[in-house]
Amino acid sequence: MDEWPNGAARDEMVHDLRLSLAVLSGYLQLLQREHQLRGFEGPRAVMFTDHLLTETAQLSRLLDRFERSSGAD
Amino acid sequence: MDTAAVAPEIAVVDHAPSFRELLEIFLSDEGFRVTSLSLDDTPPDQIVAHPATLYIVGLTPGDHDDLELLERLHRRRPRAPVVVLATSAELMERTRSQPERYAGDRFLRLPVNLEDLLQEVRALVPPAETTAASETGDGR
Repeated sequence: MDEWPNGAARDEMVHDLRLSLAVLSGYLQLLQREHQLRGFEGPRAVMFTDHLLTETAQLSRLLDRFERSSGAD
Repeated sequence: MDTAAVAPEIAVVDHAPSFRELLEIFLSDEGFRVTSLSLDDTPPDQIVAHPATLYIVGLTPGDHDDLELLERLHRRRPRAPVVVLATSAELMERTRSQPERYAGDRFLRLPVNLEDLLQEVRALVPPAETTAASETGDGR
Protein backbone atom coordinates (compact mmCIF):
# COMPACT_ATOMS: atom_id res chain seq x y z
CA MET A 1 0.00 0.00 0.00
CA ASP A 2 1.76 3.10 -1.24
CA GLU A 3 -0.89 5.80 -1.42
CA TRP A 4 0.57 8.37 0.94
CA PRO A 5 1.93 11.57 -0.58
CA ASN A 6 5.57 11.27 -1.43
CA GLY A 7 8.66 13.39 -1.23
CA ALA A 8 8.30 17.06 -0.39
CA ALA A 9 4.49 16.92 -0.16
CA ARG A 10 4.66 14.17 2.43
CA ASP A 11 7.38 15.98 4.41
CA GLU A 12 5.27 19.13 4.41
CA MET A 13 2.18 17.31 5.65
CA VAL A 14 4.10 15.54 8.41
CA HIS A 15 5.70 18.85 9.40
CA ASP A 16 2.30 20.57 9.59
CA LEU A 17 0.87 17.72 11.63
CA ARG A 18 3.74 17.63 14.12
CA LEU A 19 3.73 21.42 14.43
CA SER A 20 0.03 21.44 15.14
CA LEU A 21 0.55 18.70 17.69
CA ALA A 22 3.34 20.78 19.25
CA VAL A 23 0.99 23.76 19.65
CA LEU A 24 -1.81 21.58 20.97
CA SER A 25 0.48 19.84 23.41
CA GLY A 26 2.04 23.16 24.44
CA TYR A 27 -1.27 24.77 25.32
CA LEU A 28 -2.30 21.65 27.22
CA GLN A 29 0.87 22.02 29.26
CA LEU A 30 0.12 25.73 29.84
CA LEU A 31 -3.44 24.88 30.79
CA GLN A 32 -2.14 22.35 33.28
CA ARG A 33 0.19 24.96 34.81
CA GLU A 34 -2.63 27.52 34.85
CA HIS A 35 -4.84 25.05 36.65
CA GLN A 36 -2.16 24.39 39.24
CA LEU A 37 -1.71 28.14 39.81
CA ARG A 38 -5.23 29.53 39.56
CA GLY A 39 -7.76 26.82 38.90
CA PHE A 40 -9.75 26.63 35.69
CA GLU A 41 -11.70 29.86 36.24
CA GLY A 42 -8.99 32.29 35.20
CA PRO A 43 -9.39 34.30 31.95
CA ARG A 44 -6.22 32.80 30.51
CA ALA A 45 -7.65 29.31 30.88
CA VAL A 46 -10.43 30.44 28.53
CA MET A 47 -7.88 31.77 26.02
CA PHE A 48 -5.79 28.59 26.17
CA THR A 49 -8.93 26.50 25.65
CA ASP A 50 -9.74 28.56 22.53
CA HIS A 51 -6.25 27.84 21.19
CA LEU A 52 -6.72 24.13 21.92
CA LEU A 53 -10.00 24.06 20.03
CA THR A 54 -8.47 25.91 17.06
CA GLU A 55 -5.54 23.51 16.89
CA THR A 56 -7.80 20.50 17.28
CA ALA A 57 -9.81 21.70 14.28
CA GLN A 58 -6.60 22.20 12.31
CA LEU A 59 -5.44 18.67 13.21
CA SER A 60 -8.77 17.31 12.12
CA ARG A 61 -8.48 19.07 8.73
CA LEU A 62 -4.96 17.73 8.25
CA LEU A 63 -6.04 14.21 9.10
CA ASP A 64 -8.88 14.58 6.59
CA ARG A 65 -6.28 15.46 3.95
CA PHE A 66 -4.26 12.38 4.89
CA GLU A 67 -7.37 10.22 4.61
CA ARG A 68 -8.23 11.65 1.21
CA SER A 69 -4.64 11.14 0.06
CA SER A 70 -4.53 7.54 1.20
CA GLY A 71 -7.93 6.75 -0.32
CA ALA A 72 -7.46 8.47 -3.67
CA ASP A 73 -6.34 6.54 -6.67
CA MET B 1 29.04 50.12 31.26
CA ASP B 2 25.34 49.79 31.89
CA THR B 3 24.84 47.17 34.59
CA ALA B 4 21.10 47.53 35.10
CA ALA B 5 19.46 44.12 35.47
CA VAL B 6 17.08 43.45 32.62
CA ALA B 7 15.27 40.34 31.55
CA PRO B 8 17.18 38.54 28.80
CA GLU B 9 15.61 38.73 25.38
CA ILE B 10 14.82 35.63 23.38
CA ALA B 11 14.13 35.89 19.65
CA VAL B 12 11.75 33.19 18.43
CA VAL B 13 12.08 32.67 14.67
CA ASP B 14 9.54 30.35 13.08
CA HIS B 15 7.14 30.37 10.15
CA ALA B 16 4.11 29.36 12.24
CA PRO B 17 2.43 32.27 14.09
CA SER B 18 0.53 29.90 16.39
CA PHE B 19 3.76 28.25 17.54
CA ARG B 20 5.53 31.59 18.03
CA GLU B 21 2.62 32.84 20.13
CA LEU B 22 2.77 29.72 22.31
CA LEU B 23 6.47 30.22 23.01
CA GLU B 24 5.95 33.95 23.56
CA ILE B 25 3.36 33.25 26.28
CA PHE B 26 5.39 30.48 27.89
CA LEU B 27 8.76 32.23 27.93
CA SER B 28 7.27 35.57 29.02
CA ASP B 29 5.69 33.78 31.96
CA GLU B 30 9.17 32.54 32.84
CA GLY B 31 10.55 36.07 32.98
CA PHE B 32 12.08 36.48 29.54
CA ARG B 33 11.45 39.21 27.02
CA VAL B 34 10.37 37.57 23.78
CA THR B 35 10.53 38.89 20.24
CA SER B 36 8.58 36.95 17.63
CA LEU B 37 10.06 36.92 14.13
CA SER B 38 9.39 35.13 10.86
CA LEU B 39 11.27 34.91 7.60
CA ASP B 40 7.87 35.27 5.95
CA ASP B 41 7.67 38.95 6.84
CA THR B 42 11.12 39.95 8.11
CA PRO B 43 14.22 39.88 5.89
CA PRO B 44 17.06 37.70 7.22
CA ASP B 45 19.31 40.76 7.49
CA GLN B 46 16.90 42.30 9.98
CA ILE B 47 16.60 39.09 11.97
CA VAL B 48 20.34 38.60 12.43
CA ALA B 49 20.67 42.32 13.20
CA HIS B 50 18.28 41.90 16.11
CA PRO B 51 20.48 41.67 19.23
CA ALA B 52 18.77 38.99 21.30
CA THR B 53 20.47 37.11 24.12
CA LEU B 54 19.33 33.76 22.73
CA TYR B 55 17.68 32.65 19.49
CA ILE B 56 15.16 29.88 19.04
CA VAL B 57 14.97 28.89 15.37
CA GLY B 58 12.45 26.49 13.87
CA LEU B 59 13.48 24.43 10.86
CA THR B 60 11.04 23.54 8.10
CA PRO B 61 11.80 20.55 5.84
CA GLY B 62 12.77 21.67 2.36
CA ASP B 63 13.19 25.30 3.38
CA HIS B 64 16.81 26.22 2.77
CA ASP B 65 16.17 29.77 3.97
CA ASP B 66 16.00 28.46 7.55
CA LEU B 67 19.43 26.83 7.31
CA GLU B 68 20.85 29.89 5.62
CA LEU B 69 19.48 32.03 8.44
CA LEU B 70 21.20 29.77 11.00
CA GLU B 71 24.51 30.16 9.20
CA ARG B 72 24.14 33.93 8.95
CA LEU B 73 23.23 34.07 12.62
CA HIS B 74 26.38 32.20 13.59
CA ARG B 75 28.54 34.42 11.41
CA ARG B 76 27.01 37.64 12.70
CA ARG B 77 26.66 36.56 16.36
CA PRO B 78 29.15 33.76 17.00
CA ARG B 79 28.70 33.90 20.77
CA ALA B 80 24.90 33.92 20.82
CA PRO B 81 23.37 30.59 21.91
CA VAL B 82 20.84 29.00 19.56
CA VAL B 83 18.16 26.41 20.23
CA VAL B 84 17.07 24.67 17.02
CA LEU B 85 13.60 23.13 16.83
CA ALA B 86 12.56 20.68 14.13
CA THR B 87 9.63 18.38 13.43
CA SER B 88 11.79 16.08 11.30
CA ALA B 89 14.25 13.79 13.08
CA GLU B 90 16.10 13.27 9.80
CA LEU B 91 16.50 17.03 9.22
CA MET B 92 17.57 17.53 12.82
CA GLU B 93 20.22 14.81 12.66
CA ARG B 94 21.46 15.98 9.27
CA THR B 95 21.86 19.52 10.60
CA ARG B 96 23.42 18.41 13.87
CA SER B 97 25.94 16.27 12.00
CA GLN B 98 27.66 19.40 10.69
CA PRO B 99 29.60 20.48 13.79
CA GLU B 100 31.69 22.90 11.78
CA ARG B 101 28.50 24.91 11.22
CA TYR B 102 26.25 24.20 14.17
CA ALA B 103 28.56 23.28 17.05
CA GLY B 104 27.12 24.46 20.34
CA ASP B 105 23.53 24.63 19.13
CA ARG B 106 20.93 22.73 21.13
CA PHE B 107 18.48 20.61 19.13
CA LEU B 108 14.97 19.61 20.17
CA ARG B 109 12.32 17.74 18.20
CA LEU B 110 8.70 18.89 18.08
CA PRO B 111 6.33 18.29 19.76
CA VAL B 112 8.46 19.26 22.75
CA ASN B 113 7.92 19.14 26.48
CA LEU B 114 7.97 22.83 27.43
CA GLU B 115 9.87 22.05 30.63
CA ASP B 116 12.63 20.44 28.54
CA LEU B 117 12.79 23.56 26.38
CA LEU B 118 12.92 25.76 29.46
CA GLN B 119 15.73 23.65 30.86
CA GLU B 120 17.76 24.17 27.68
CA VAL B 121 17.04 27.90 27.69
CA ARG B 122 17.98 28.29 31.36
CA ALA B 123 21.19 26.32 30.80
CA LEU B 124 22.15 28.88 28.17
CA VAL B 125 20.70 32.05 29.71
CA PRO B 126 20.06 32.63 33.41
CA PRO B 127 16.67 34.37 33.82
CA ALA B 128 17.92 37.41 35.72
CA GLU B 129 21.29 38.00 34.20
CA THR B 130 22.81 41.43 33.97
CA THR B 131 22.82 42.35 30.33
CA ALA B 132 24.66 45.10 28.56
CA ALA B 133 24.59 45.89 24.86
CA SER B 134 28.10 44.50 24.47
CA GLU B 135 27.07 41.10 25.87
CA THR B 136 24.46 40.13 23.32
CA GLY B 137 26.68 37.90 21.22
CA ASP B 138 27.27 40.49 18.54
CA GLY B 139 30.29 39.27 16.65
CA ARG B 140 31.03 42.50 14.89
